[in-house]
Amino acid sequence: MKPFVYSRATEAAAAVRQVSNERSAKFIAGGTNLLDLMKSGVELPDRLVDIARLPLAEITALPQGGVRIGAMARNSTAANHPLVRERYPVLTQAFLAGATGQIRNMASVGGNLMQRTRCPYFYDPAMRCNKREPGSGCSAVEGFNRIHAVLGASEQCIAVHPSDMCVALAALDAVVRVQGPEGEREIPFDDFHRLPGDTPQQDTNLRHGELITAVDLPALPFAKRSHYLKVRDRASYEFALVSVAAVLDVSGGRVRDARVALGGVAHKPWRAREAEKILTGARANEETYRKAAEAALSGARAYKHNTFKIELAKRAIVRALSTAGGSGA
Amino acid sequence: MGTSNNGHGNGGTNGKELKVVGKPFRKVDARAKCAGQTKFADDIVLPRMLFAKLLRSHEPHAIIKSIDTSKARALPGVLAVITGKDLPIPYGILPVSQDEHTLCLDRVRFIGDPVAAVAAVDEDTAFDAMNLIEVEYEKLNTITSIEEAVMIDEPRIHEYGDGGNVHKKVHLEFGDLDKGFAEADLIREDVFFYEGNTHLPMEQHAAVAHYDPDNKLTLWSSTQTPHYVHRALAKVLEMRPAHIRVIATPNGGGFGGKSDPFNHEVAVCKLAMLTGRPVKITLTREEVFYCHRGRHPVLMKSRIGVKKDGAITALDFQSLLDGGAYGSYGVASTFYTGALQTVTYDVPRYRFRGLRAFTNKPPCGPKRGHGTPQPRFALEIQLDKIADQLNLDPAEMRLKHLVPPNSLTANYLRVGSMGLGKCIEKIVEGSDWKQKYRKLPFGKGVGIACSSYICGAGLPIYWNNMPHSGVQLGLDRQGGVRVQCGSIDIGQGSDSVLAYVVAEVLGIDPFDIRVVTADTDLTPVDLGSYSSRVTLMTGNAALQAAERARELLSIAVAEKLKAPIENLSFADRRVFDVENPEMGVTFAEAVVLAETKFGTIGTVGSYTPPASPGKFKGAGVGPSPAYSYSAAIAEADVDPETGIVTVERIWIGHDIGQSINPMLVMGQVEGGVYMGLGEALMEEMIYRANRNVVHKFPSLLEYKSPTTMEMCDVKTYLIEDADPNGPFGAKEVGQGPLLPVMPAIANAVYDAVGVRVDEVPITPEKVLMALRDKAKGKEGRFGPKDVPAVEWPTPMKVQTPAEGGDGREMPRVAIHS
Amino acid sequence: MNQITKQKAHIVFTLNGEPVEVAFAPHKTLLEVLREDMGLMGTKHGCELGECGTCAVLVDGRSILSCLMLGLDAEDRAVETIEGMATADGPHPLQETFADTGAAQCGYCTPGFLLVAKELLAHNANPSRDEIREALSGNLCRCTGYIKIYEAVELAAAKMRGEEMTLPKESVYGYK
Repeated sequence: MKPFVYSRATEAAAAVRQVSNERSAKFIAGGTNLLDLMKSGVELPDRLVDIARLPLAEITALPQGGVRIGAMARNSTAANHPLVRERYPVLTQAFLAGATGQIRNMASVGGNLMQRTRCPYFYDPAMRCNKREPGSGCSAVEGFNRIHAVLGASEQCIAVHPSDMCVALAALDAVVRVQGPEGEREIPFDDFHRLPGDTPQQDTNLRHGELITAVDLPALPFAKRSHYLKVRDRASYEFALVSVAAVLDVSGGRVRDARVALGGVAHKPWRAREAEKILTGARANEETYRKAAEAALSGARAYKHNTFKIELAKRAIVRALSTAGGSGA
Repeated sequence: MGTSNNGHGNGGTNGKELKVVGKPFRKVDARAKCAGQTKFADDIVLPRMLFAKLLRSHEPHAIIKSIDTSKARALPGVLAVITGKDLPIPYGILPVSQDEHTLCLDRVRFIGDPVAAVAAVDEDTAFDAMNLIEVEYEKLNTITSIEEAVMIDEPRIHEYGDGGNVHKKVHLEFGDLDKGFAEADLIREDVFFYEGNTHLPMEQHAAVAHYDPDNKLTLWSSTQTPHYVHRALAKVLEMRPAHIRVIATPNGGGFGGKSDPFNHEVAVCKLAMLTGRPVKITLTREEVFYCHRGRHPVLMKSRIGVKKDGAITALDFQSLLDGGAYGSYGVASTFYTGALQTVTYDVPRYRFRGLRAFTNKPPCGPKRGHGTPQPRFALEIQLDKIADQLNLDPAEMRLKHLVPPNSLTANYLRVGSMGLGKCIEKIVEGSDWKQKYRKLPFGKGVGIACSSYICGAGLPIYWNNMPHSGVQLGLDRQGGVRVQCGSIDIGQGSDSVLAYVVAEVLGIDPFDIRVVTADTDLTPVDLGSYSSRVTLMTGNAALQAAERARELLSIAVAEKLKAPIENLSFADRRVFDVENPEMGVTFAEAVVLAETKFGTIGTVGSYTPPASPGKFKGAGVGPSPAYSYSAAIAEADVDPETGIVTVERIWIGHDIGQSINPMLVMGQVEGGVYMGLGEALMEEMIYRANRNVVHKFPSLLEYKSPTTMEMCDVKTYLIEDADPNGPFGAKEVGQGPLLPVMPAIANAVYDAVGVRVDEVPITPEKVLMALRDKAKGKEGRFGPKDVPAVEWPTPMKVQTPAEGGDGREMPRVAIHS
Repeated sequence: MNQITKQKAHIVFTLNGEPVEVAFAPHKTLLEVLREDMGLMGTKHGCELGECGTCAVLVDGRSILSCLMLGLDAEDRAVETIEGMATADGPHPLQETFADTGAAQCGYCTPGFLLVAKELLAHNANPSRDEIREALSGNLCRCTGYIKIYEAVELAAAKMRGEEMTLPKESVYGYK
């Protein structure tokens, strides 16, 4: 690993200052992704500011029925917190579907938002990659692209976002709270991650030096009825081929409201709004779910090795909705 | 329970009940392993030790135009940089393929082939220095597949072999095939593909070399074959073998992947000699993928003739192996893809054609089951198809046509004990097969398959008439016993087997014994932990040494007790008169008596396998003192929506002969099933698009191995039918139980959803494609269509024993039509 | 840059119950600090990229991967490694049962499994087979097929609850 200067922050403002002042400085919290990338020679920061011990790990109820998860809360803590378990089971399931117990014990919620793609070409400095080295080209487009995007990709980059947690957060309309040199701001979840476009090197709309302090989950009473389905090559140590976070409000056999987000298919957690439109007001049955699934994938485009993902995603949506919707009562 | 087996196998114990053999003792080194105190190679630290790194090629096939090491040499902290020129002598595991260089001389043959080595004061400096070496390459066209290797002669990857990029061609014919096919009621021809996969031991290879001021070299290495590493070092370093000591450290998993002499082992020796300081290298996980030597990808075509009851009348089997960039064990691997097709079911006439190709990929070699899983996969699926076609129960069909015990196969393999029938019966009963086969709801299915494996190769790698395994025993006058043997414990428990066998014979506790193994200075040669040879061969050598020691002690004790020698029994750390058990001495007293009478007590034992009945060229691969047998039934759940196959449970019967330690046998069976499950469903060494030569992401994340969440339930049945050649009747268990797992799962998938996936791994995508094929009204199959046309050499024809053959090649001129 | 490389960091933390001080290059992981700077070779490595669980240790009682944690992050924390599992009274029950049941074959992944199992039993004195499977799903083993490991954890849990338990005969001798 390339050497760096290390300091541990004791307050958020100082941490923000230290990183903002230095182009190649980075925050480090759990380190589960950053250290991995540093060992692979993908990330080469000169300075690391350790934010893990900032007092940002609390999980608290918000006045209107929502929940605030501090950015430094560990994934395993957040997953098992009663407020999260009871109000947002889809989020608990998503947390527990990610990585392994040891990594969940280390990884912070803020860091999970900042996870970088698992595109192997991105990880291998011997290969061309626009995300790692803008303008060098994309090895995945013509390469082995089984795990790559079918939605929202660009010529520049077909990588997918690897997080499970973020798929649930997308469905739950979470809000990311950040603190920057100019103060605090809130970023709606949909605006947090980016599609690759011509700037695949930028995963998020976070500005350099901005620190994630918390994730707010708005009240969503029907989120109690939700399901996270992850399809993967094995049941541990595995990123999603396709995943679905489904939240359904069903009564009298009809869908009153719905939230659907997909993982493993795009450069960002993919909110399937077309599917939600079809679901809302329709009968809660398999036919509806199938239509919703078709709509969600209507704009999909496959590459040589990932054609299967389109059909797989549709089937996963149907199954996740069926599970979340229960018998449709 | 560990039943007594008097009258069977080696190891008469003077009528006494077995006290150690057959009992679930703890392994002699288990506590240290659970305390983190076992010293693996990377745990060795010597004063002033340097660290080495290898610069590996990023080109799959290229001429090395120049190497500039000046910047690396100039980096502070760098003590030596070497390149191919420093070690020009080639080596390789087999005498017929000495085609590797420590560092490539003038050409690189795969991505990962090492071209230079650096020794520096620490790992970071070595890494930086490695990156300062400049290599200029002239790219060559690559050979990326079996098909290309067969078609494209130039450029040749190696200047030797059977022409172009073909490393080896084999053509053997046993008996009159035409007659066999003419007798058949049904003839099938099927094509299969077995994708390559790798060992993935949790421990990355590591080695430490030390060159002392008296010009003696010591290498500690995580190797399964210290004896062959010793040979390679002497050759490449041009040193007297007597001045080289190789110590194999406990292997953190081997599975065949640490059985070749490796570049890094030679490189650290050379660097230690140049610098006069100890040098360590620990490979990264990525580099372990480049070492590889794993399962060959094999494309197979099997033509089989059967009678209506499933009796085989003739088998014509072709296998084409993708060998990767070097020879390794490849010639043996090629023969093994043919040899053991005959030892389970009666195959009266047999033709085998095998071809190994060179390609620009990491070299393939021996992985658990060496060369046997691939053809076994083909044969067992083909038999399932035949049973389906003939409307027979595949379990019953197999039971009907088993090779009889104590017989000679068409290709001259001597089968001794043969417990496959009992294995099949047990699992059929235990799994409720009759109520499940073709009777489970859509999406659920069961499949059966069988197999056999050798208990050690009948011939050594370097042909000679010396023992394959040697054991020395030293008896201490205070009652201590030291057993020394060249064998190396790779986790299978071979150190413990030595202790158990000696303890049984001498009537002492296995934990009284000091086991010294795998040190070429201190231990007699054992050929290594490969080919499932250790329990049988070192077990027999230990048995002989222990019996000789017992004899010396008996003479001395009989004299003292004035009892007849044949009355003496050794048990509970005592030697006593069986007719008058109070009359006796302690074991330590017995040693004192013997030492007083004979002088220092030390004995030796050794084991040489019986001569093979086959005398034809190529008869060297396949013969073994004994064959283990396994049968497995897999129950699988196939999700037709996703194509995901979930194996719920595997019932497996294994014919072990006699368990030396049933608990360790169970562990080997379960571990074999686990590895088979991985090969069946997810493990593959595949290469990326873009010329198909770059490994598909060499990491533990991208190479899928089963986690606890994938592992199935295993119900194991041990068949104990003592083999006369095994110590106490014991046969192997390290490799055999893996073999039936893959075809059993493939057959279960067919039973579940009616489609055939004729290749591994059986991934969800392949299942879905086969289902789609079926939905279109087609065969419902995923797999290769055919094998490329090959110009095969004239067959070596051998008459079968049934035809009156004598195991020799028939004169070619007389039979060539 | 030289100033970055040469300056060693110095920290104090609790290692296996004892306060320790150590100085090391700041970019080292806890795994490297334990093995290279403290000579504790019981913590193994299988990938150093967080993909196998071999290097698992306990930090403040929770299992983590020491290859993905900076040594500096151990400051003021309590780290437990395999070397700290046994006490003067003898091996930890898990160490005994792992040895007795053959749960350690090559033994290379064993320290990681033992520590993760210890964490599990600290929170769940009587885990079901599925809970054990789930808890150990971050540790890869290539030898055992995991079954003997589950059995060893079950035996140790029983022992720690003060119950008598032996392995079923079928686990030792196979089915008849």
